[in-house]
Amino acid sequence: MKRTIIKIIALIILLVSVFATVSCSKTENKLIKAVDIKLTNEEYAFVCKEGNTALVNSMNSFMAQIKESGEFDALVAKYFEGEGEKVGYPVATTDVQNTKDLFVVATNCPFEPFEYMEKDGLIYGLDIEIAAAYAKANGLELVVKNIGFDEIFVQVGAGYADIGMAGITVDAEREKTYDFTVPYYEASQKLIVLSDNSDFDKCESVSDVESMLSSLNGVGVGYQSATTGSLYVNGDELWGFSGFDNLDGKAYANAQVAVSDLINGNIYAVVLDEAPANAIIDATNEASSLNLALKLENFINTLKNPHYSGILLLGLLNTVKVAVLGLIIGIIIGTLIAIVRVAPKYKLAYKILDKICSLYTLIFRGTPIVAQLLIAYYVIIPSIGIKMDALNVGMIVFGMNSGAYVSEIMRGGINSVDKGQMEAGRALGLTYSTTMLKIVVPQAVKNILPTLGNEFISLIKETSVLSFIAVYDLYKALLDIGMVKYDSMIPYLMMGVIYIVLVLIISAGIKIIERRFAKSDRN
Amino acid sequence: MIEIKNLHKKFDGKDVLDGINVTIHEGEQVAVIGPSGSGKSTFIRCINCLEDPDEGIIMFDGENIADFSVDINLHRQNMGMVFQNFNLFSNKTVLENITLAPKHIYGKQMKNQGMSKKQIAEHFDAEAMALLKRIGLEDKADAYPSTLSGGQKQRIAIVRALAMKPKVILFDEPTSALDPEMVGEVLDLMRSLANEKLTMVIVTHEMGFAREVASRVLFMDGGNIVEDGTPDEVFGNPKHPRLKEFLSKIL
Repeated sequence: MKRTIIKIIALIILLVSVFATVSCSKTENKLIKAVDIKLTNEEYAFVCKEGNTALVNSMNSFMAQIKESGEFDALVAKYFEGEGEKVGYPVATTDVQNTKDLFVVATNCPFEPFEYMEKDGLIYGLDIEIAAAYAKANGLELVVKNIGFDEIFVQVGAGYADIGMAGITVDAEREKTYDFTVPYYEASQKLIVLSDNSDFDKCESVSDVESMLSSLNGVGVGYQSATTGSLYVNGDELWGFSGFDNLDGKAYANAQVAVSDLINGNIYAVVLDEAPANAIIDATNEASSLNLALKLENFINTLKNPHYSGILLLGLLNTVKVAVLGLIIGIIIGTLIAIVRVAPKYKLAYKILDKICSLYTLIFRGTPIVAQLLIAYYVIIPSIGIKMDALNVGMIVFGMNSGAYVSEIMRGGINSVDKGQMEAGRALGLTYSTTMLKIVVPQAVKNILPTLGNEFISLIKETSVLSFIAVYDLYKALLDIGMVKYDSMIPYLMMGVIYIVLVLIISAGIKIIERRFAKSDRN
Repeated sequence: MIEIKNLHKKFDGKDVLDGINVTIHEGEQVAVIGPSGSGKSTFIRCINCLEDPDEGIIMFDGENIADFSVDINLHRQNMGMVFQNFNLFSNKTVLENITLAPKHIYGKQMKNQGMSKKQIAEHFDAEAMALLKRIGLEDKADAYPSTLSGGQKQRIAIVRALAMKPKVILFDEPTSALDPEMVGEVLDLMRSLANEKLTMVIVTHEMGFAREVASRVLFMDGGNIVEDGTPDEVFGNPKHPRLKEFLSKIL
């Protein structure tokens, strides 16, 4: 009890010092601006799974129809000129099984004004309203999945989403593996720099900007991974981009983190799509004028919205669920493997099982859990044709992964139990497996409890990779909350705090269990 | 009751048991004596196949239990064993130590005969309590083994074996790990079992006990039984020179 109190006090001191450091160091607020020259000419379209001509044709004729009727122009005016009332839609927070009655759209926020989240927890944007209109016209129910930009392609390819609508640029490389609809918007890339940067003030054309960029050596330039910005910086033959060998290209998960890094002085510039760049500059400049107290207030206000407190709770629940169930599955699998591995190998069946188990351990310990999640969700499940919720896939993969680690822990635990315990059980006529499960394993578990606790703690932290398969875990929930105001500082700090509190609770729980197990040692 | 023919056991290519032939009859109390490394412990551990014999036949209840295709678990139920280091289940209470195997093995049959789980548990708990009463440890029923003395542990290990109602009990140096003042209580219990004509095979260094309690003594040397007779014959009139040498050293 005393130690727990000391830990909590230490934690509070740590937090206060972190907040103090953060608030003191931010004496001057840096602002950002766009260099007002279009670097590229590109077109946005919607992306479908290769061969899904039915959807491509249907979407094309729908688009032609709303262009004809003026509905499309009204939507563009609404989002680019602010004319008319915008309509928001809910975002799917659980994995939706793609059925015929649904129109599942994969998108990536924030990409204002094409798709972005508002404080009310709804998703808005040109793409979203087109999707909604299409769904309505075809009698389908709209489901919007807000996931990573590069994941959109994977999800569409695996059939987890019908269509990707996220200001996606038509490019020759993508056309090889996906089908695009007719383009609906002409776009370009723009360069974002700090407001006090005067390097580009005299530039009048693309070639001026590019020669300026070519003259800079070794500076970092950020872009959102898998976007045209990435091709622009690194060069691409099909696009005719020569790229900049002198620049240090840096890929970010979304535009917002790229811009944060720019403000923090880690990179020199960011290449972004023009339309969202304007929105993100406005929001970021507004956010950086806020002090810590206002940021905290913003965060709390965001949480007052039931959608955001809801996803935070959901994220917390999913994180705990996957870690707890993953550990339980892990203990079961791990114990079975350990028993096979320590069993005497008289019979051929045991020899074969032993080889299978060591292969299993090799595979699951030898590959990162992210790779296992991606392979399970995007390769194995679609190819065997079963429908499974991403959260369940996550639980199973975490369980199987943990099983490999627990098996080695358990093997050590079993070996640490006196051989006489097994002999005594066998001499009474109990079978190997009965003696193992009733006598040896319980003693082994007692010995390995602290190590098992460590496994649980690392499991709960590792669950943050669940967002790779579009599960709302704690990380993804706080990421979303950070997107609302284009300010992630408080959400990131909160993420750290929540994880530490979770780990403290788990540690206390392990202590209690250890004490209960220790009763057979009492003298 | 147990008929052993040409029993061989090798460890790392070295013959530890070198073709043992012996028959143990019902109601006999057989003491196995001999110098260290003579193969006594390996011999007794081979009888219930805790060590798998490399060669030879062990006939018990009309079956060769050295054969891998025989269900050894079934035969071990009739063949109790008491170890030098007691080997009480340290995660179980004294009562659970005694009732675990009977409940698990005999309980299944009783359940098929229509007894409820509770009835079965009560039946075996009562039996175990009667056994504990016999050794005067009924107040330790809910204690864990780590809280007991060596002598108490070994007496509980013996009644744990008894709870299975075996036809024979094998004792592998049951008093060797005990403090001297605790040897007596364990030997007293074994003596009372001998008086009840329980079949026993006892590997022991307690010569006085072997002479007094055993009905037959086997002297082992170099992986073989070199002398086999009544206590009076073996201790009173040793024939084999190795036995004479052994007795002269310890008596």
